[in-house]
Amino acid sequence: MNDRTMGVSDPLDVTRRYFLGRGAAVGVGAMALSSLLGKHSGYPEAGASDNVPHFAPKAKRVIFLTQSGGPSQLELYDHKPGLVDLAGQKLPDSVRNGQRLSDMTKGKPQLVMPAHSVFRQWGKAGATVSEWLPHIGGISDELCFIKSMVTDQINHAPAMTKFLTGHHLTGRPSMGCWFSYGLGSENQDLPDYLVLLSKMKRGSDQPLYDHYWGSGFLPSEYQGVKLRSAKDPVLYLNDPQGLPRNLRRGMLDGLKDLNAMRQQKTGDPEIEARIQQYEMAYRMQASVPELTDVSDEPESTFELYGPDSRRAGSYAANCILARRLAERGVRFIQLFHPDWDHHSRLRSWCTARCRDTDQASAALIKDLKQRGMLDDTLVIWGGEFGRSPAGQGKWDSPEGGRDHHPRCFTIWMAGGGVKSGFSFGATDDYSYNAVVDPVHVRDLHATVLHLMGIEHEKFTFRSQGLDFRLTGVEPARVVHEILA
Amino acid sequence: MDNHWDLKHLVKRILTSRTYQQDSAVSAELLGRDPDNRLLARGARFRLPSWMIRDASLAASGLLNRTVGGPPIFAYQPPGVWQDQFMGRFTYQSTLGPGQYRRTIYTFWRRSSAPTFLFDSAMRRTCEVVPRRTNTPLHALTLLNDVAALEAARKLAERAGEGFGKSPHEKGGTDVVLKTMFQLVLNRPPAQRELSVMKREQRKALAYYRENHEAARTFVSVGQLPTVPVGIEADLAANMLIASLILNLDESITHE
Repeated sequence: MNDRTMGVSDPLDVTRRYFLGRGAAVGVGAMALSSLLGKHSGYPEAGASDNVPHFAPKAKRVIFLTQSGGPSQLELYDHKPGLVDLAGQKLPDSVRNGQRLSDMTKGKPQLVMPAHSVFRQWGKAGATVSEWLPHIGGISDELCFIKSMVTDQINHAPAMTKFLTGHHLTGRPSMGCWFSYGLGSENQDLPDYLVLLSKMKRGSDQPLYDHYWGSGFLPSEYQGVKLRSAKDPVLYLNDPQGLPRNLRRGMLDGLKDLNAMRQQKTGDPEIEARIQQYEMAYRMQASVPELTDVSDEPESTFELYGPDSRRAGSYAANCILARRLAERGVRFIQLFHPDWDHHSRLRSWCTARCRDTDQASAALIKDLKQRGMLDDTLVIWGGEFGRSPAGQGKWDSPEGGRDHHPRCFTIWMAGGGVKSGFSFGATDDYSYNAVVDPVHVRDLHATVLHLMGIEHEKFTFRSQGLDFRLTGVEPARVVHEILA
Repeated sequence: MDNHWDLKHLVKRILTSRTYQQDSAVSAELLGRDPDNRLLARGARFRLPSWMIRDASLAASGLLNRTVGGPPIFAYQPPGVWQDQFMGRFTYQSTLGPGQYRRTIYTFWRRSSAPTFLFDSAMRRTCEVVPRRTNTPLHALTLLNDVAALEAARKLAERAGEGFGKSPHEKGGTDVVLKTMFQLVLNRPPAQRELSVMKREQRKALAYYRENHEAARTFVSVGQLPTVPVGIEADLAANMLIASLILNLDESITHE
């Protein structure tokens, strides 16, 4: 401790507050209580905007199909046939325009590598989608492509953090937490924000950090709850063996009675919140197994989502769970599928990821539509950045790959108030720069908030003396052109 | 500052002050006048951080191993946690023997996989000045079903039932056992109405376990605690359930 730290803040004050716990217990308790009542505003210290949603939402819930690692827009969606003629030529400096490269390809020749895949036009709208994604191509009339996505970050963790929280450093709430905080739950038996990770057939090289669904400065009751792809989808969910359900109920009744007596004596509202959380835990013990037990699904479900959907924890199985969560009114459902990071052997690795995800992603859209749920469910498919038109390794070999690329990438959305059979934005002839209607990550955030009935500039949370918002401090815009 | 920035001195000064040692009970009038307790007219009331909850329940049950120093121990973790994180490149085996009951500060920890029972631990990615004190259903599930918490419950029940032989309940020891468990955890005797709630639930459990000895045996066979002798499992299971209830009380996990 020195004079400099003293100048910044008063450490004695922090220490005293830490030990004395100040009013936080009361404040947090009141907030927890209000959240259980399904209303998150009315907590003045939090700085939450009142009246969320601000207007009638188009989407009631979001399913975010996060493709982690940076899927190649060049192989999948952004068709650049002209690159065939430029194959092996140096990427012009006028195109690259000083763009920083990652350490992997810095100082190496940037030679154009045309797409390894074959494209065709699909459906009535004639969307251009790779033949590596036949199922997604087959439902492209339902989709809204954004081919001019832009981010600022060139490495995975900061780029994914940016994509999900609006900032490349950790410590901000993920998008789902904002919705949990602002809109609460339609289902009192499940958390508002659930996260599902694909269980890969071989070990994944890519970490999925838990701050990707972390609540940052929001109270951590809003953090995403990760369902595990294991026997117990929620840790500690199962009562110990030898304890029947009625005795658990009795034990919790006794706990409730004694806690209520204590609350009378101490006047601490945190106790009431705790009683409610124990009751939620009890309800989750019933609701979570019912959710994850797919034995009540007809055979046709598994046929729709593909053979991998029978493997617990697979992307396809998680897509079925996502639909079941949506049916149960969960606000924000986020899947993560890793290993889209194809620096080499792009042809074999990228097609493998396509096989993992193509049929199930398309099945989810079809399934939601046939159940009449697509209209008020927003589905988002996308990763943290795109890939470079220059080859990494040998550009003319099947062993070739592509390095990270932040200046353009493609995502798609469906349902929930966006246009269908629509493509927005465009890149230059190299798929290097987004030149027509660029959509920055923060514009996407503003748009998703808008679809959920929230004005992004009014939806804030006060932390460390600042009113934070998902879209950050730089100008962000709702992309009205893609709204239905 | 007068004591050369001695933090220990400062902490001791705070802890031994009359202000810090005040009762945290609050009247509606006082709550209205000073909701944030800025004037320090009452003691602070806050939930213990999760590591302290584990240590406190181990201490109350008599399981705590107070050895100082040495290598870390591998606390109980639900199956699959480490497999998910490390895809088989690291095998986690929980510590057998007294090491398991060491203070939580000795628990093995990797930043990518913090011990799961520490439900409010800092992420250890960015600097955090104050630990979060959250209140979620996942905490409740942890404190209800974690192996360490259940072992502490059984041990607490055994400790309170010492001297009664096979069945404290047949020897009129029910009240004594319940009062002892309550006292060991909360450092105060239960009020009459608190005792009657515990007796109510204990009677239900005892009735069930006397009819279902196998269930009782399964329930008390937790973690690495020794097998219980035949004949005592029903009484022990019923007491263990109430011990778990007491350890889950808001008062048990809260600084008052």
